[in-house]
Amino acid sequence: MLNIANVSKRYGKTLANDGVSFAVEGGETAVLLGPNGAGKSTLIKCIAGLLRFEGKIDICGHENKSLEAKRALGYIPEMPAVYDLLTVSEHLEFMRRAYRMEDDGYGEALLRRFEMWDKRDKLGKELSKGMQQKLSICCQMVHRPRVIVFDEPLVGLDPHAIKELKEMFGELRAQGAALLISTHMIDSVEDNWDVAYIMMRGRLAAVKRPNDEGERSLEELFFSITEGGEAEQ
Amino acid sequence: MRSALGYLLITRLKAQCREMVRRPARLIYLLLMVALFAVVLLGGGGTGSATRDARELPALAGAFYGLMFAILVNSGFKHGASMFTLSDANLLFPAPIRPRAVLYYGLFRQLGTSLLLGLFLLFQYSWLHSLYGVNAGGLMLIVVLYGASVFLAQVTAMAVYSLTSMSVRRRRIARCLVYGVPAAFALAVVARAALSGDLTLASLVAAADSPLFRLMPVAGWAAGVLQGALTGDLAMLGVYAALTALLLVALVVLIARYNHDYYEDVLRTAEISHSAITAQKEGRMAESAPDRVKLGKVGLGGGWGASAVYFKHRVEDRRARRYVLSPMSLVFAAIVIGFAFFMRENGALPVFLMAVYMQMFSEALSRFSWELSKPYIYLIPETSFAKMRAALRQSVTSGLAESLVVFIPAGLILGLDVWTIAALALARWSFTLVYNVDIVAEMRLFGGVSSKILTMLFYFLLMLLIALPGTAAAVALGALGASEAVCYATLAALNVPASLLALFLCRNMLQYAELNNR
Repeated sequence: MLNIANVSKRYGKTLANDGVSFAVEGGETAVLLGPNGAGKSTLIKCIAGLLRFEGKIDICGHENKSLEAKRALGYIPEMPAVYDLLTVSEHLEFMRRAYRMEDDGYGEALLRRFEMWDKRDKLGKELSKGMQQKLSICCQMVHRPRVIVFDEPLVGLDPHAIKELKEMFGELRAQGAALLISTHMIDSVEDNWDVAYIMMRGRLAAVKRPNDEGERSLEELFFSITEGGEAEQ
Repeated sequence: MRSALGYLLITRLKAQCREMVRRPARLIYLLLMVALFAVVLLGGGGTGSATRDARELPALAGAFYGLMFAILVNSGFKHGASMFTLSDANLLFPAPIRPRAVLYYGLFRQLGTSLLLGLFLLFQYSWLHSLYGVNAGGLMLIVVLYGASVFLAQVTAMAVYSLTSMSVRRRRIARCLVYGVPAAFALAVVARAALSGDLTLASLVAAADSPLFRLMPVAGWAAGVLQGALTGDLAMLGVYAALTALLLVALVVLIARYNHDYYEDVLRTAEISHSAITAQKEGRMAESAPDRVKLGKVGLGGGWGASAVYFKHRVEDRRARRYVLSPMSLVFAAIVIGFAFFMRENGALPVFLMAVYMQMFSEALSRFSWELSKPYIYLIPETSFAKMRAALRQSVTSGLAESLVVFIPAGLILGLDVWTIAALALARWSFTLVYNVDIVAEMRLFGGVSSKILTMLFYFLLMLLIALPGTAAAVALGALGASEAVCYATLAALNVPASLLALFLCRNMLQYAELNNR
């Protein structure tokens, strides 16, 4: 459902992504790991169509900047992006209208799930950073995307929201959605992943699946690459 | 061993110089500015002999310094002075360094910043030289006096905040003094001018050219220093320079002696400045919203697909109290109307140029600009052209309202006929399109450029390009003796299709632009 083929992104002289290729299938949760500055957020922004890049990114078989791809994509940015002068409920109404979707009550369900329903008439500027992050997640889930990319989704969330979001990852996977979760905190993904891609200096340094042969845990592999200079495919 | 503060000052300075070399765009910009200044200085313009009343310059400069002083002290009322960064607050304040030494360090840095802020005045040399016969030395004095006013404003803000922050009554008294004293002086000048017969720029200058006006702290004293220097009256220069220095010393002594615990008074501003800088670095634009927002009716009330963006803008404008004009646009409009009043003998062109110049700042705060700083407009599954049209709709309609609000009163003040007023409003509105489409074109063509300085440069160049056909045609018609109404109408008539063509050519901008907040 999400295909990334030979993607490179350059900021001036800095090569932030260097020929990255991988795929995330429907019903699969992929985690994108790497230290700060590895190029994870840049890759996520390329997938979301926010940056120009070389290479090819397909979402549900469509080029990532096409309308069909945009319809299928949910993008939760690292920095919550909310409108200061819209209320919480208006954010969801805006997304629903912009994506041409009738109100089927899913927005309300999302707000209730993330304990935001009682804040529905609060303005974006009145929310704490954690609440803004929860609203940002709700905004990007309300159109029921089939491919969802999360950039450090758990940062700033309270324990209840973390629990709900982790449960939601499982539900989305069960519903056949493709999930790509970028993080530099290995603990946050626990065992809720099907494949892990470890990035280092803009490149894909290793791929690991839970049932791969060998004794090394994901954490051991991560540190052997990021601190030991080892790379494997 | 060098002291920690000395080390910090020198290391910061070195780092700034290194940054200049490492980032060629900054170096190019600096060289460009130096070259531009050299052209302005050498090109000069005029013979160097004053063509206007020599008393005008000290009066106008004093009023300008006074305005800057009042604006900065006003912001200081809310949050205190802004001479420290958040890193200063986090690293220096808890360190075992005497607060007084930290204060002097902050003041020293602020002095440098204040002088740098005044460098833009260097580019005013051409008209200052041709109208008032100002030479290079006079210009440097104008810059230094500007820096001194800004510096004094920061120190005053800090003193006022630290002396009044604990008492509402004291704050009220200080506020009355800070606003009341300049207002009383300004009223006295206006009343004196009005009593002399006609309320014009010349009569205001004549009224301001008196020891009474020069008694006014900062504005009057700075005007006195300038007048003393320009007329060779060293006694006058010395007296007012001494008064200014005395005020500065008194304020510093006041802060240092009576408020050792001033850290709290500067912390809030340091935090606010840091948030603003971080937001700018991350590409997040702070919304210009009132502190207390009246929620009103909840819901967008319409919109489907791309048009949801327009309905969202309407709700946001209502909450931001932008009914016809935003509060900032209202200030800009008032400035233009005031400018028209004092320049009413010079025709419509200076007022039009001023209006278009001020519009550049108000359009930078338009809904369209805000929208481009959020990811949603890029993500919504609608065509780029449809989304841009929806996002521009509110800016374009409010641009027309703004133009009417500016040019109906300005036109009446200038004594213009209805056709010229309508043509001026249309021409100004056409620049709403020019400026907004300029943003689109700049992002489409140079969206990958991460240097803010180069981005600004391309923005200006593209703006000139889009407005070129209309401007050239209007100038040509003017030279052929066409009426003002025809010239401005032609400018509008060509700006609109030029902008629409540029918009159409860049219709896929949202597909190619970068929301680069790296």
